[in-house]
Amino acid sequence: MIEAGGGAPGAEGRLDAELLRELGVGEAKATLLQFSSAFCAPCRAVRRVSSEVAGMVPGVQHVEVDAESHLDAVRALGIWRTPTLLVLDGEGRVAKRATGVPGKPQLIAALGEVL
Amino acid sequence: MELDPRGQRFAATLTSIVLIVVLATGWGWLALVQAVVFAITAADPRRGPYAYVYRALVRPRLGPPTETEPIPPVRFAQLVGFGFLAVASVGYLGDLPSLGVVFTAFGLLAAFLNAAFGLCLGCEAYLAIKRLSSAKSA
Repeated sequence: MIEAGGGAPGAEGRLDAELLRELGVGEAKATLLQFSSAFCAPCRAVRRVSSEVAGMVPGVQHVEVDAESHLDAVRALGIWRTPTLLVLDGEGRVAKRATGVPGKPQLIAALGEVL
Repeated sequence: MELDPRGQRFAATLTSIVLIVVLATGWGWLALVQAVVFAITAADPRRGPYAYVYRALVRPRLGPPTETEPIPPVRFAQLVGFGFLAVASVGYLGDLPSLGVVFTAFGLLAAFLNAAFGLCLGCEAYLAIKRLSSAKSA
């Protein structure tokens, strides 16, 4: 399920540049930022969909983060479950947030609003 | 090495049946047997007693799986199940049947959700538990 970006502190504005650097999010027109954990069966499906979409749509990068080793970021972003996928725009704003496994068409549509 | 997800669903179904019998009869030794089954399966899901039953009786009729799943989530879920049933056995065998009923019911809920919907409750809660527990120590 893909929702509007709201809910996380700072969702209206840009995420802290330091935080993004720590998570390994580089410059891109759009980023699919995936939070995973070792005990998460659907994380693999999200990885597959996200990397396929990132390979298909120019300017999009997929970054997967182990939630457990970035608990500060997890708290700052209001993440409670894995998998959670954030769609960031080129300025580092959270445009959309998906928990569970998003469909490829929904993900492409969400990116369409960002790019 | 990965697992056949249908084997996990089958094991969760057997677990649900065992736990319903435990709840119906209040038989503490059966709760303890299920706790041991969880412990063995947590150590290695391929050597779990229910996995042998699945491979011997069910899998030959189904053919090879079209998809496999990673092992760590399964082990974690079995460990959660072990925790519930260990407490439940202590309850039943230590003359605290209400403790036994409550923790067997937790175990049944988790096993039933897994059997019916493939949903792993412990895996869903893992990050939330991690967030809360490390907030306390920080």
